[in-house]
Amino acid sequence: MTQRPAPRPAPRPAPGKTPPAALRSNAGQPANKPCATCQKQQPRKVPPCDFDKLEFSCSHCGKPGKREIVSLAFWLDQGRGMIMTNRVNSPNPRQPKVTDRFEVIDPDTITVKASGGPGYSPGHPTLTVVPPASLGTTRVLRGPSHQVAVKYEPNWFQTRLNKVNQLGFFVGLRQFFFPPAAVWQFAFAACGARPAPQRKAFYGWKHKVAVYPPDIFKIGLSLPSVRKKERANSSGTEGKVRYDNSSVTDTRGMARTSHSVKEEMRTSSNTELYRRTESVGNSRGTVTQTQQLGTIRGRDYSSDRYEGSDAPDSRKLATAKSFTFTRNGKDWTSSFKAAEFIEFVFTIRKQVLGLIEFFKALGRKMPKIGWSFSVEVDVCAGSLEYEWGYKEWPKNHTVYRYYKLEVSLTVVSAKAEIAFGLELLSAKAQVYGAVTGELKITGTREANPDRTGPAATISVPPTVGGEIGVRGALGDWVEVVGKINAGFEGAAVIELAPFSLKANLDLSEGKGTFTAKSKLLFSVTKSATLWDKRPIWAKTIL
Amino acid sequence: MTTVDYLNVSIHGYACELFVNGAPILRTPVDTPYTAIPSVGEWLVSGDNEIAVRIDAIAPPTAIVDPLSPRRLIVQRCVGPLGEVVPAGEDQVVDGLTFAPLPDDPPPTLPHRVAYNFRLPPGPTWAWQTAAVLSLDMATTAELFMFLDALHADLVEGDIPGLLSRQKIKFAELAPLYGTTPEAARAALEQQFSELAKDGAWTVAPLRHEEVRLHLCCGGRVIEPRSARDDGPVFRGLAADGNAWSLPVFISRIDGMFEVVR
Ligand SMILES: [Zn+2]
Ligand SMILES: [Zn+2]
Repeated sequence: MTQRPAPRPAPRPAPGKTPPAALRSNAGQPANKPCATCQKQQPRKVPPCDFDKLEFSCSHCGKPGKREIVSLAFWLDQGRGMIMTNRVNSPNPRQPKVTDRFEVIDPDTITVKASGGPGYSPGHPTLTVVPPASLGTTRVLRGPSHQVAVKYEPNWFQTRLNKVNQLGFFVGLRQFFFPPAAVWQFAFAACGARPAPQRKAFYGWKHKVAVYPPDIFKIGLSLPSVRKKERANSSGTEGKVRYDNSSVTDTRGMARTSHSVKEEMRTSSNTELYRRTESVGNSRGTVTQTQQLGTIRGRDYSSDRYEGSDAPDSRKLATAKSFTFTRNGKDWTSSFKAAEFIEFVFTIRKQVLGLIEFFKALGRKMPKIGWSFSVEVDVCAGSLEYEWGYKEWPKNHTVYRYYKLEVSLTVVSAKAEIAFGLELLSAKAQVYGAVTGELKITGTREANPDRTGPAATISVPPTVGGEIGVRGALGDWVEVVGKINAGFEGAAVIELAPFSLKANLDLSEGKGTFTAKSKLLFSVTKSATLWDKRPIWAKTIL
Repeated sequence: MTTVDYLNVSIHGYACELFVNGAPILRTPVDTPYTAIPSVGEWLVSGDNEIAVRIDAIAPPTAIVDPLSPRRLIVQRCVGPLGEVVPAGEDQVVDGLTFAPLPDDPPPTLPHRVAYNFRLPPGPTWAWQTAAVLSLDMATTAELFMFLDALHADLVEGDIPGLLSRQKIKFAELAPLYGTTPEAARAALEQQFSELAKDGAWTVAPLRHEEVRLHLCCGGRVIEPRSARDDGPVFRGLAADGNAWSLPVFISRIDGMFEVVR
C-alpha cells in the first residue's frame, strides 16, 4: 500500500495538500479563514475535519451471483497508526497480490462513502473525479458520500473495426483482444484536522477506478482437411521427374455439406505445375478455390483464385466459411478480409512442401541409386472457437480476463516418404522409409481466476512416427546400432489471454550409429548424419 | 555378374536371433524396428538348408501402434548383384518366412522357434561342415581361450600377418564368394588396418575370459565367442577418425587345430 496515514497537521496545513477551497461564507469570507475583523484578537483555529473509513463499491457489490464483497474499505487504525484494508487477495499462488484499484465493467456506478471521524469543515470533504481525457472533464463533488457513473470509451469497437482493413487480418483481429482499461482517478480529501490527542489523520485518499469494455467476442475457425500430396521419383533415370494426379472428395462436415478437391501435377523439362481446385459448399452457397503452384521456365506462376456461385464477393464468402467473428452474439465476420488467412494457410502448405526440394537435392548427390519422395501435408484442419472478454471477479474488486477455448485443430500434419542414395561409412547406401509429424491441439479450456492453475498456456509437442532404414551395397552389410533418429520436432503453443497460436515444425536431423559389417575386413562402427536439420516453418498463426 | 545370397530382414516387436543352418546371423531388439540385408552365402550348403528365428521376447500390444512402423517378423531369402544397392522394395525374393499370429491367437511359449527349409543345388563344401563336433569341456575351453588370447595378442601388436595366418580358411572360402581373391583381400585388410591405426589411434579392448561367452553353433562344429556384456564381438576397440572397429569370429577345429572359419 502506497498511501500512508498523515500526522495530524500543524495549525497551518501544508500548501498543496489541502482540499479544494471551501464554499464562501455568507460574509464573503473563505469559510475556514478567520474574518478580517477578529483576525488580530483570535489565534487561528482549524476546525476538526477528517474521516475514519472510506469505502468503494460498484453496483454489483453485495448482489447475489455478482460480487460477493460489499465494498473495498480502507480505515484508519489510530492504535497502529496504519490504514487498514479488507482487500481480498487471490487464492491463486501465481498471483498472490491483487491490484488496489477498483475494477469494473462498463457501465457501472461507483459509490464512494466516508464514515466516522470528528466531522467536517463546511463543504468538506471533497471527491475529485478525473475521467480519461476523452470521457469528460474533472469534477469536484462535496460531501462524504457519492455515486459516480463510470464508463468505457463508447465508440471503441467501431473505431477499431474501421481500422481492420487497413491493419490487415491478424493485426486487425488482435485489436479486440483485451483492450486496455479506461482509468478514472478518484481523489477523496478532508483537512485531516483532528482534536488532540489523536496523533494520526486519514486526511485524503487517491484511488484509481479501472473501467473495462463489456464486450464478449468469439472467433471461430472451421477449416476443412485438405491433404496435399506431392510425389516425385526418379524411375532409375537421372533427372526424369514424374508427377501424379490425384483427386480427393471429402464429405466429413463441419459447417459444410460438400467438399471436393482435385489435384493435377505436371512436369516437363522446364515446367513444374501443381494445380488444386477445391470446392466447398453448404447452405450459403459454393465457393471454388483454385490454387496453382508452378514454375514455367523459371517464372513463378503461383496463384490463388476464388469463385463463388452466389456471392458478389466470393472472398468474403470463402472467409465466412472458415472464419467467424462475433461481438456479443452479433456476426461481424464480413468486416474481415479473412481471405488473407486462407492465403496464409496456403503459404504454410507451400513451405512444408518445400521438403520435397530438400530431399530431391539429397537424392541428386547419388543419382544412380533410385530415389523417390512423397510429401503429404495437411495444414490448419479442424475447428477452433475462442471466446473472450472482461468479467468482474465475484470474489473481490478486480476484473479478470475471461476466455473459453474449444479446439480440435491439426495445426500441421506432415508425412514424408523418402528413398535416396548417399555415402555412408565410405560406401554407397540407400536411406528409405517414412517419417510423420503431427501438431494437433484438442481440448477445452476456460478461465478460472479462483483456481490455482493450470496456466493459461497450452503447449503441445508433435506426435511423431514412421521409421527410417538404411541398406548398403550387397556383400558387406550395414547394421543400425540402436535406432535412426529421424522425424519431426517442434511445438504448438496457445496463449489464452490474450489469444495467440504459435507453432513451429522442423524436420529433425537424420542421425544414427551404423556398423559396416565386413565379410573379410574389420567391421567399423561410426555415427553418421543422413541429413541435416531443416526448419520447415515457425509462425504465429493467430 | 556375381550374385549374392542375402536375407531381407524386417522385424519389429520381437527380440529374436536369426540362424542360417544353425549359424547366428543377427539379433534384434524388442523395442526398436530392425531392418538389414545380411549376405549369408558362406553359411548355405548343398542340399537341405534351414533358416530359423528364435523369438525370445515379444513387445506388448500397446508398445506398437504406429501404422508406419508396424509389428512384423519377416525374413526373405533374396539374390542380388554383388556390390549394388538394391532399393528397398525391389529385392528379388526367392522364399522366406513370416511370423504373423492373429490377434486372438494365444501368445507362444518363449523362446519360440519359427523355421523353414529349402533345397539348394550342389555347391562348395565348406570347412566348417566337416569340422569336428565340439563340446565345451574344460580342456576344449582352455585350449580355445589360448587361441583367443593369441588372436588378441596379434590385434594388440597390430600383427596383421599373424592375424591373417589364423584366418586362412575364412579368406580362402569367402574371397571368391565376394568377388575378390584371398591375396587381394589380405592386401585390403593391411590397407584398412593402416588407416584405422593411423596417428596411434588403434586400441584393443582387453579380453577378459570371465566376460566371454562361447556359443556352440552349427551342430557343435562352430564356436562364436561373444561378450557377456552386450552379445557383441569380443575383439573390438577404437580407431582413427572416431571409428570403432570390431572383428566377429567363428572358430572351428580343422585337422585338430582351431581356425577362424568365418
Ligand atoms: Zn460492478
Ligand atoms: Zn476540511
